[in-house]
Parts: sequence; structure tokens; C-alpha cells
Amino acid sequence: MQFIATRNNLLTALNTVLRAVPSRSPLEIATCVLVRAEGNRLKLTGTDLEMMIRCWVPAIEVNREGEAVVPARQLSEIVRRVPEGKIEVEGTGRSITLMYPGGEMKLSGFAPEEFPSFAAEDETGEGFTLGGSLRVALRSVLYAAGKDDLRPIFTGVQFELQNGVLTVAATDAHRLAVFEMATDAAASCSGIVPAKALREVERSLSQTEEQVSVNFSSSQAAFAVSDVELYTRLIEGRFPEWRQAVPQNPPRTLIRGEIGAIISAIERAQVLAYGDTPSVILKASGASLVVLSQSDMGEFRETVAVDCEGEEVEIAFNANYLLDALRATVGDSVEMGLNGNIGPAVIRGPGHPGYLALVLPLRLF
Amino acid sequence: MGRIKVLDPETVNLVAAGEVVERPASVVKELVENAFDAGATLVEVVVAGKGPETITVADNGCGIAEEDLLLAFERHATSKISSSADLERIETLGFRGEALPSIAAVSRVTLKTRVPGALGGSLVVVEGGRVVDFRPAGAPQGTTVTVDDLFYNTPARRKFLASWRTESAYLTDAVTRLALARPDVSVRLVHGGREVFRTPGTGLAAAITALYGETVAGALVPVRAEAGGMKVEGFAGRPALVRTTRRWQTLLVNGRYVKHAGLTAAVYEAYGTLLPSGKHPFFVLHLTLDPGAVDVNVHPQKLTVRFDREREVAGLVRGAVKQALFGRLNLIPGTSSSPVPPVRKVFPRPDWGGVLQRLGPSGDVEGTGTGRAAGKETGGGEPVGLDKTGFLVREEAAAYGEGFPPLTYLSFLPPSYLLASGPEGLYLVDQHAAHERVLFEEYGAALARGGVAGQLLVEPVPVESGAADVSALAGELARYGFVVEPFGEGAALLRAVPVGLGLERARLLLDDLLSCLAAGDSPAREEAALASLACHSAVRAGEPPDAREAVALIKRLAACREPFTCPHGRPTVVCFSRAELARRFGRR
Ligand SMILES: Nc1ncnc2c1ncn2[C@@H]1O[C@H](COP(=O)(O)OP(=O)(O)OP(=O)(O)O)[C@@H](O)[C@H]1O
Ligand SMILES: [Mg+2]
Repeated sequence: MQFIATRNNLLTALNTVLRAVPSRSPLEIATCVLVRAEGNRLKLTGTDLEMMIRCWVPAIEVNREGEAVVPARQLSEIVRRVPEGKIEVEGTGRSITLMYPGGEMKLSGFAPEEFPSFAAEDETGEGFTLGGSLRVALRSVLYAAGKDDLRPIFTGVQFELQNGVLTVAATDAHRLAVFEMATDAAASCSGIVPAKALREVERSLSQTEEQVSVNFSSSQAAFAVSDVELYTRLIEGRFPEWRQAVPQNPPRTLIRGEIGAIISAIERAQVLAYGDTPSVILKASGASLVVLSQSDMGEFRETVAVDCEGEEVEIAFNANYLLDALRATVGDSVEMGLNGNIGPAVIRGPGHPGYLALVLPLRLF
Repeated sequence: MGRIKVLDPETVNLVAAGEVVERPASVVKELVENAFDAGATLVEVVVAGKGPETITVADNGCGIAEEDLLLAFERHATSKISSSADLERIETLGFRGEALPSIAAVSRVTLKTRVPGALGGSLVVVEGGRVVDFRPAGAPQGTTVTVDDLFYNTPARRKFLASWRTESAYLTDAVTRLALARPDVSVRLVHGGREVFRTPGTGLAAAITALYGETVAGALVPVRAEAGGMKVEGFAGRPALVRTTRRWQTLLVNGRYVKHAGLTAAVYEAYGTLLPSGKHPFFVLHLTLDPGAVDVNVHPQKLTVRFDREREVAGLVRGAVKQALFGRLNLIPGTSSSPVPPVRKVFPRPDWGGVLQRLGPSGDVEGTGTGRAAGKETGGGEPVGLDKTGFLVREEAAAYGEGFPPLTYLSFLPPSYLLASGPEGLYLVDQHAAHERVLFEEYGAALARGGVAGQLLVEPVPVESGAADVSALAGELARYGFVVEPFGEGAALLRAVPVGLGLERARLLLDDLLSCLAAGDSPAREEAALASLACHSAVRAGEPPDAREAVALIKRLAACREPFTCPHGRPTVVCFSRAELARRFGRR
């Protein structure tokens, strides 16, 4: 393999695939990147075996096609440090030599055949294309996915396409976020995609307005956005039956207010938060919403002007959960339906059609 | 000392009778006690030979007048009490008039003595109970008793002795306890020509240093409390000094070494969760009380005592030790025991009443009071002093946990340690243990207010409940943040989990809790349940905190009542002092 590329192109590609490369792994080759020169392009691949990211960038010239596997972090560190301009790379399978004006560096790694392949590449499943609005969908739900590694299902996002409607949902058992949108896709599919992979998809989408082509099979999913492809395993298991948790009846108390005002009141209440779970109490009655909190350091009370219909209620929440749900709501106003002090709060945004968040309250003594 | 008289038969019958001399150690104990009773300020015990060939105890006490000397070897002859009424208030160690005759009956005893001011002394030799020599002789002031050929005429007893190595360990132990009993007397033990120890006679701290060494002495906290005419004084080991046996525990009642299960238990209660299971604290405690309120005449060896008001005595001891441990001194392994000025700010307790009082563990309503003192009034935690009798002053109550040093977070050391700098050097905080302690107290406080907050679930989750009767336990589980409904045989529906706990950890906890709660109504049950709750909720090793979380955790730990150990008794923080570091770097 022999090619010349700009330092910037090489760096962009490396930074992209590095997101899938673990910094430490019992399988040393997994900390490497696979570099391939092909046609007039370079193809870089990195994987942590759960997820794989591949990135294409143009080369200035490819004199000899071929591939090499070298330590990813060292490669990106050196490329980041060389001055802008051309870099010439020559590789012989197990090692590459990087040449730039005034210097060169030889890096050795592994035989390309040993690089872990990701079965998803070969598998053919249901393919379809989604618009850039997938980004809105992902941003609306990703926050609700859990970190509980003991329950992998909660670290995933349910991804469903049926009759042209895409539904994504995430929950950590304490709250739920759902987004529904119409698409042109005729295919149908369903699976639980690791939130970690979707965060990368969302990140790629933030840099481009392009379409996303998606391919779903029974155990894997692939997302391609312009020059970046991401493959991920799906999470096995039963996703919670969240539809049953969404109250069908109109809420017992309905609060309509300005998102910003409510968020800042809760943020102020949280200043006093102490401990692992910052609790806030909401008291809704008439035309006001009172936000209360208390800790060692003092006590907080603020009245926010809102429209309030239905029963008076006093209900406690984990402030972080409320803030996450409210911050994900697009637009200026929000509707918060409350259902007694142990029922869920249902959050929707008139300016954010398709979005629904459920936050379950705290039961205090 | 008064004249030696033979007790009347009526009193003799009241004296707890039995074998006084069992083994060399008991001989030494009796002789040293006689020396103490004689007002000696110097006592020397010399053991010579490979077996206990010769035991000599010399003192500089009041001596025995020549005309009394033979009487001292008569049974039931004593100068220390004269009637049965005196038995009610024994102020001397001896009172039976049994020791010298009993020893002389099984050995050859040579006693040389001179009373102060007398020109000459006298000497008596008693062999197998018979006086074989008695004459005036020159002698230093005081009494010197030499015991030879112990058990020469009782081969059976001799056979029952353990190896000399074991016997000499008993002997050393006995003299150690005697030296601790009278730290105002200089006690010297010489064994086979070698000085084992010599206490200076200048107080308990000096005696402990002489007996156990600097390291032990440096790891002690002073204990002191007084109430209702009783006084407890002494030292207790910091948790770092825990031992695997009870040998390091000395309880002295009116200067007499005793064993008392109730008082020992009170000390363990004071340590509470500071003590890892299977470990034993070090302590030397002197209890002083009216001799009329304690009965030493229970057992011939006088090791057993009975108190008229045992509960109060135990309460005093428990309160005093607790106060010492959680008081001003800090208990961090590696630090010196010098008091560190408290740094905690005390927030005035706002009183808004109503709704705010009910925030979850994170709300920490108790904490809004004047530091931990408020927590103690409302938190159901044990008061400092005597429990219900309440006659120990409570003003020191606010001292709980003070002395936690001001720490500045530096960095995270995987898998689990927060590095911090502080007054004495480098401190390492175990983030899991620290978090456990913090949660243990926060959840405990929440429980005392009614219960731990529960986080309701999006979707109720069926769980196995095994043999436990969920509907019967539902009320109690709710106090721990679980909302659980019966859901057919052996199953339950989980609707809420304790706040701050992921669903899966909550399920593991529920299993634990069901078995804890099924264990019946023991007082330890709630503590076990709380410890389990704290343990499941606490951050795991290997989860690196961001700097803000680390700082917050240290702050919350400092605010704990018992910040120095986790609920299982392991340390939460250790210190590498500057001195220690300098030593390691060879700078000193
Ligand atoms: N070292 C000593 N110095 C002065 N007097 C002593 C000494 N040893 C013994 N005596 C005298 O001898 C008496 C008898 O001693 P002995 O130890 O047999 O009995 P006790 O101490 O009175 O009672 P107990 O049997 O409970 O020890 C004592 O009462 C005391 O008057
Ligand atoms: Mg005696």
C-alpha cells in the first residue's frame, strides 16, 4: 500500500473511527485501526466489537492499493501533531511508514487478516432511507436511556418502523421518552439499538444535512451518513411495554407554561440539591406552579406563572429527570399532565409534535 | 495497716471460698495485690529459673510487724476487714485472709519484712504450711516474699499445669493487668534475668506505653466520663487498632481487674459499625464507684463482680467510649491522635414545616439542624450518654464526627480512591466505602423520619418473592422505598424502588431485604437492612467520578456522624502523613 493524503483528511477520518476504538482492550488488535487504500480513496475502520465505524476520505493519490492495521491512538496522535500539508504513507501489512516534510515515523501493528470483521457488513436485511429529521428523533429520546449495565435492555433505544411511521423510545425504568414521525420508508423493522451507537449517528448527523440509509437485520443494524458508516449489534431482550404506561385518559391536572421559565425555576431549586437524587416538589393550583426544594444549605420556593386546570396536586420528582425531559422539548411552551401524586407526569410540546416524555414521581414520606 | 486478726467463723462462712492458688500466675497476683494493699509505690516481680522455680515479689509498703507475722499465715487472718459488715464495702484488694496460708500450704515461702521506722525486720519461712524458721533479720523497708518449690507437695496440681511457656504467658498477662490496675505504682517484671517491662508509676498513659509500646499508645483515644457518683476513665483503641482476640481488653473496677460480659458488650455497642465483624477493640478502662455499689465477693479469684445498677454502669461506659470515638478526635488510620479543629459550619435550622420535611434521603431534613446534634435528637440514633436513665450530661452531644479534617480533592486513583490533601498529608478516600457511609446515614435519617423515598417505575416489574409473605411485609418494604404488591403465589409486582437505585440493583437489594426482614424482630435487623441498602446504592469501584462529584462526596462524608468507617467497619479514609512520606523518601 502506498498513498498520499492531506493531513486534515486523514485526521478527520481517524477522529471519526476513533470513537469506536476502545483505549484499552484485552484484544489488543481492537485498539488498532484498519487503513485501506482503494481506488482514489482511503477507508478507515475501527471497532470495539459491539460497534464498528468506517469512514471514507479522498486521497491525493493512491499508488498502490492495500491495507494495514496499526495502533489507532498513536496514529492519530502523530497525524494531529504534524504540520498541515501532505502525508505520504507506505504500508506492508503489519506496519506503515508515515512521511511528512522533514520526518518519518514507522508504526507496527498486526496482520490485516486478523482485524475483527463485523458480520453486519455481509448480512442483508431491511434497508430504507430516512431524512435528516432522524436527528430530531434521536435527540428527543437518547437522554432517557439508562446506564445500568446490569440491565442492557435499558441502555438501548427501541427503533420501530411500521406503515411509514418511525417510533423511537428509550427508558431507564424511571422515565420514558418517545418520538414518532412519518417517513417515506415503505419497509418495516424493529429492534433495540444501543444508545451508544445512536449517539454516534446523531453526532454524524449534526455535521451534515444528508439522508441516512439504514439497514436492519435480526441481530445488527447499520446506519450510513455521507462518508461514515456505523454498524452495531442489536440488544436482545424484551423492551418494556411502554405504551401501557402512557395514560389514555386526559390528565387529572394539566399545566401549560413557558418551558424556559419552568426549567430555570427547577434549575434554581437544584442549586440547593444535595445528595445523589436532587428532589423537587411541584405544587400546582390555579394559575401557579410552586417549585420547592430543601437541603442542608437552605430552602427554596418559587412561583412560576402557568395555566393550570384540574385537580390541585403536590408531587415530588427527581429534578434531573424533569429537566432532561423539559430540555428535550423543542419550542417555547410545554404541556405537563399530572396524574395524582404517584401517577406519571406526561410532558409534550405543542412545538414538538411526535414527542412524549413520561417522568415517574418520587414517593416521599 | 491495722493489726491482723482472725475472722470470726460467721464472716468466714460469708467469704467466697475456693482454691486461691491454681497456677504460678495466681500466686503472683495474690502477692502483688498484697503489696498494693500495703501502700507500696514500687513493686518488683522476679521470676527465676526455667520452670517457676522461684517467684519473688518485693514491695516498699507498710511491712508487717513482728508480732503479726505468724498470724499472716493463719487461715482467715486479715488486717483488711474485721466483720461481716465490712464485706459490704471492700476497699482493699484482699479481704479473705486466705492468700498467704494457701500459698504457703503448697510451697516454701520465705517472707522478709520491716515496718518503716523500725530498726530491724523479721524473717519467716513456712514450708507446706509449717513454720520452719522465724527470727529477727535485717530487711529493706517493705515486704519481700519468695516462693520456692511451688506445688512440691501436690503432684496432681503440678501435673495439671500447662507447659511453662503457657504458664509464663499467664503470669506476664496477670502482672500486666495488675500494672494497668495501679498505674500510680511502678511495677517491674523480671523474667529469667531479663526485664519484661517496668511501668513508671506516673499514670495510665505511661503505663500503657511501657506495656504495649508507642504504636499502640499512639492509636488510642482517651475516655472519660462521670455521672451519678461513678467515673469511667481510660483509653480505647481507634478502629485501626482492632485486634483478632479479646486479650487486649482490660476492665478495672475500683482498681481490680475483672471480667464482665455486660460492660464489655457496652464497649462493643459504642464501637457499633466501626468494628469489622470478628474483630475486637483495644481498651483499658477504669471504673470507679462506691464500693458499696459493687460486689466483689462473688468468686474466690475475685474476677467476677456484680453491680447494683448494672444498666447505669453499662450506659456510662457506652456513652463515654462513644463520645471518645466520635468526639473531637479523628479516627483516620495514619493520622496522629492530636485533635484537629473542627471545620464544619453549622447551619441554622429553618422551620418551614409541612411539605418540605418530607424530602427523600437527599433532602436530609435532619442535616439542616445544628450539625449532627440535631440528627441525634430526631434521628433515633443513640444519644451520647446513658439512654433512658439520661443522667449523663448531653451537652457534648454536638461533638459527633467533629474532627474530620478539611480535605482538598486532588485526583482519582483507579479503581476506587479519591486522593486529597489535608492537614497531615495525603488522604485516600475509598469512594465506595465513603458513599456507603453517606448513604447509610442519609437513608437512616430518612427512615427515622418515616421512610426512604421511592422512585415509581414506568412499568411495574414482576419479581420473585420466594417464601416471603409480600403482603405482610409491604408496609415495612415501603419504608425502604419499595412499593410491592402481591402478584400470585411466590411473586410480587414491583412498582417503586428506593430512590437513587437502578432497577436491577433494586431487585438484588429486594432479595436481600426480604431475607433480612424475614429474620424476625431483632434490633440488628434494621441496621442490616440499611447497610444492605447503602451497599447496593453506593457507587461501584471502577466508576470514576468527575471532580465535582468527588468534591461533593468528600463534603458529604465530612458531614456524617461516623465518617471514618463504612457500615461494615472498614475505613473510609486513610492518611499517609507527611512524616510517613518523608520517611519513605529517606528524607528523615
Ligand atoms: N506485702 C505485704 N505488706 C504488708 N502486709 C502484708 C503483705 N502481705 C500480706 N500482708 C498482711 O498479711 C495479711 C494476710 O494476707 P493474705 O493475702 O493472706 O490475706 P488478705 O490479703 O487479707 O486477704 P486475701 O486472701 O483476700 O488476699 C494481710 O491482711 C496483711 O495484713
Ligand atoms: Mg491478700
